[in-house]
Amino acid sequence: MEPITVYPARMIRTMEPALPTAEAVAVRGDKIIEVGSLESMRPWLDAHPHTIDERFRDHVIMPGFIDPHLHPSMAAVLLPMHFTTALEWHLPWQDVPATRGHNEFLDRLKEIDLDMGDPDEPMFTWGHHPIWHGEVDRRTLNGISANRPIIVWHRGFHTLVVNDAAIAWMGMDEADGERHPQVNMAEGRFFETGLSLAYRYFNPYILESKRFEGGLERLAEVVHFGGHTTIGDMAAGMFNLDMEWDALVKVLERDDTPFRVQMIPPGNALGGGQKDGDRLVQRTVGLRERNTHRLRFYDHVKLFADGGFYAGLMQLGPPGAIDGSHGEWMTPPETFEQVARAYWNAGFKIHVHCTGDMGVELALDTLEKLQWERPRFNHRFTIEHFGVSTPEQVRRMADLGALASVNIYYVHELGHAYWQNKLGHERASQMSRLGTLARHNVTTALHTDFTMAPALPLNSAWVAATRISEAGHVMGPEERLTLDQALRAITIDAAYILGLEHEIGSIRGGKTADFTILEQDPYEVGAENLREIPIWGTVFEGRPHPIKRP
Amino acid sequence: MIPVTVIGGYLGAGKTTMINSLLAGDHGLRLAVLVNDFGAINIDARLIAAHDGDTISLSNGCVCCTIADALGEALDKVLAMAVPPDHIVIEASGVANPAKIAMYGRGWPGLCLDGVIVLADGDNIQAQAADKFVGHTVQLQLAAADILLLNKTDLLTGAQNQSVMTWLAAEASDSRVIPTSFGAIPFTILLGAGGLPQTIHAEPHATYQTVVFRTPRALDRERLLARIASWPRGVLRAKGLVRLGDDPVHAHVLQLVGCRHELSLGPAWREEVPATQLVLIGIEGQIDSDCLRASLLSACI
Repeated sequence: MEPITVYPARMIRTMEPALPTAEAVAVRGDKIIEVGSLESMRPWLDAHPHTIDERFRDHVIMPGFIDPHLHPSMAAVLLPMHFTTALEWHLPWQDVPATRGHNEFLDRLKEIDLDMGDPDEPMFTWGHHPIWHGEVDRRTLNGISANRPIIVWHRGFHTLVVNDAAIAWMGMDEADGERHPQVNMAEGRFFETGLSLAYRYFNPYILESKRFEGGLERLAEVVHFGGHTTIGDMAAGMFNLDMEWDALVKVLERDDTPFRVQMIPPGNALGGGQKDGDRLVQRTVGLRERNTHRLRFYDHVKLFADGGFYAGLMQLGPPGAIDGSHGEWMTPPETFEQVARAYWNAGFKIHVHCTGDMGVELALDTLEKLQWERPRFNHRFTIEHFGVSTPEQVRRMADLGALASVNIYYVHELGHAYWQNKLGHERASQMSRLGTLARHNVTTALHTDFTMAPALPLNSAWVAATRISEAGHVMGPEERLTLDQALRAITIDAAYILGLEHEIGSIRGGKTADFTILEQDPYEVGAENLREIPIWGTVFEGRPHPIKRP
Repeated sequence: MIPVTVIGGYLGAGKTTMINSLLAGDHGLRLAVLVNDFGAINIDARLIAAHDGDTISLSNGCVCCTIADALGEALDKVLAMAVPPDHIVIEASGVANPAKIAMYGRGWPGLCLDGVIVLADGDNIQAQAADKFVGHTVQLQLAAADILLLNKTDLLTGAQNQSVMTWLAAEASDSRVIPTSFGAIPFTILLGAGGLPQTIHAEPHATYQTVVFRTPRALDRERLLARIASWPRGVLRAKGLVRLGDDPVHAHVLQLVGCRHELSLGPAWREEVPATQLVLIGIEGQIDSDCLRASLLSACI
C-alpha cells in the first residue's frame, strides 16, 4: 500500500461545518485519510508509513473548486479566437484588458493584426459589443487590413462583421449575400438567420479537428487556472457528440489532466413535436458505455426551457421588457413536460436551462405535476442560470425540493445594461437572486456557463458576495450571499448539484483528495478581495498540479 | 432556384399529418421534406426505398430528412443530392417563428421562397394564443402566414367555426384563411409549383376554383400591382408569366401566395411571342372569374 502523504498548511478550510478549519490533511492514493492536526492524526501515522510534505506550509487549502455548468466544446471553438471584450478577462496565457470605446476597439484590432505572424491567417475576434465599441462595418475593417481576413464576432454571438479579405477567403459569392434579407453585404454584416450563411463557410475552419483540439487544450489550461478539479459539461455533445467525444477523450483523458468532467447530455434535440420518451431515455443511458476515468455520463440530464440570457431571449412575465421585445422557447412546453416526465420516471436528475421568470415558471409547473403523479425525494431537479425570477418562485422551489445553479456574472456584466435597456432597476438588480435562495435554504451552486462568463470560481464568489456591476453599482444588496455561502456554492453545494457531494466538495476523511491551493485565506481577505487571491494550483486525486506561470 | 415552402404552426395543429400526406401524395413532384424529428412521421413501409440515419428515401422520388438543430447543413445536404428535388418543404418547429425559417427560403443560395403555410388547431387555437407560456409565440406564427389553414374544423359546430374564423381574420389580418380538416388541401395550394391543373377536386369545407388569364397585350406594372392589391381575399395562389410594357425583352414572373405577391424578372422572350399567361386559384364563392379577368384586362396598356 502507498505511504500516506501529510500536507501541513497555514490554514485548511474544509467546508465541513463539523470541523471547519484544520492544520493538516493526510492523503493516501486518491483519498483523504484524515483532516485535523499532526497530533490528532497520530494514530494513522503511527500505524502506516508516511511522509510529511511541507510544500503547502504557507498556503491555504480548500476543497477543489467545482463549476457544474460550462461548455468545453463552445470554449474549444472560442478560445483560439482573439478576445476584444469590454470587460477584462484573465486567461492563463494572457490578461485581456478591457477595451472600451470605438477607437480603442480599432486600436485593439490593429494590435492583434501586428502581433499575428502569418499575414494570411484569418483573424477571428470575439467580444465586440455596440454599447461599448460602437458599430463597425466592412469598410472599417478594410481599414485595419486589406489582406488579412478579419471576422468580428459579437459578444453574445448576435452578429458578425467581415472585411473584403474575409469574403474572398470564405469564397462566398457576393450575390448570395446581397440576396439574403439578413445579410448586409455593403456593411459586411451577418445577423440572425444570416449567421448560418456565414457559418457555412467558417465551420470547416473553426471546427477542424486540429483547431478544435487546440481549443480544448486551452480549455484544459483555463479550467486548471481557475482552480477547478471538477466541471460539468452541461450540454455534452452540443455540436456533434461523436466528433466532440473523440477530441475530449484525446485531449482530456490524460494522466496530467488535473480535473474530471461530468457529462450531462441534452435530453432531446431542441424544437418540438411528440418525442418517444423511452427511446430518449435509452439513448441517454447508453451514453454511459463511453465513460472513461475522467469523463463520465451518469444519471443527470439537461433540458431547455427559454432562450439565451445574453441574447436577451429569456421569457419574461409581466411587465415584460422595456423595449417590448419577447423571448423564445427552446422547447415547446408540452414537449418539455413530456420529455421531463420520461426522465423523471426513469429516476434521472434533471437540470433545466431557465433564463427568464416564465422559463422558471414552466420548469416549476412541470415539476409540480411530476411530483403529483409520481412523488420523488432527493430528486435534485435543478434550475440552471436563473436570470430573472420572482421571490415566490424561490419559495415554491423550496416547497418542491428544487435546487439552483446560478450564473451570477449576469449581475456583473449585464446588471447595468439590463437596468438601462431591458428590465429596469428593480428587476435588473434582483437578477440571479441568491440571497432569497439562501433565505429559503435552497441549495445553490454558482456556475459560469463559460464562455458566457470567465471560468474563475473566486470571481463568481466575489460577484455573489458583492453584486458589484461593471459600472460600479451594488445591484440588489439584499440578494448577496455571505462569504461562507458564496464559497460553499463553488465547493460542497456545487458538488451537491452534480450529485457528487459524497465524494468531493469538502475536505473530510474518506473523500477524494481534490484541493485548491490558495496563497491567501478567503475568510481573512474578505468578500471584496476574493477575486484577487492568487491560486498556487490544485491537487487532483492526490497529485499536486501547480499552475505554470508564464 | 428550388422553391421552399415553410409549414408552421403550434404543436397539435396538424403539421405532421400534412407532411405525411405530402410525402405519400400523388403530386408528381420530387419533394425534399425537412422535419425536426422522424418521431411521428408515418411512411408506408412499402414506399421506403432507403433509410440512412437522418434521411429516408421514398420510391416516389421524395426524401424526408431531419434538421437536427442545423437547418443550413440540412439544406446543403439536400442541395448536394445527385438529383436535386423539385421543391423543398421545411417543417418549422412548434415554437419557431415561421417567418424566421422563411428567411432560409429567401436567402440560402440556390433556394427561393414559395410561401409560408401556417396551420391552426381550430379547437384550441384561441386558448393557445392566450396561453401564459406560448401565447405570444402562437400569435407570431399566425401573423407569419401567407396562407393560414384553420384545421380540425370537423370538430367544430357551425357557430364555433364562424366565431374562430372571425377571430382569426382579426388576429392575422393579412393572411388568407382556409377552413379545413385533416389538413386536406390541394397540393397546388400548398406548393403552388408545377403546372397548375385546371380542375381541382372538391374539398369537404371549401372548394376551389381556377381562373386562367391570357393576353398578348402588355401590362402596366404599376397598374397590375394596384389591381392585385385590390383582389378579394379568396385568391390563394397566382402564378405565371407577365408581359410588361416597360420591359420588351424579358418575361416577368408573377407569384402570389396568400397575402404576399411578387413580380420578378424572368427569362428573355427570345423566339417566343410575348404574352401574359396567368393561373389563379381561389376559394369558390369568394372569387369571381369574370371580375378577376376584367381586373387584369384593365391593367393592360
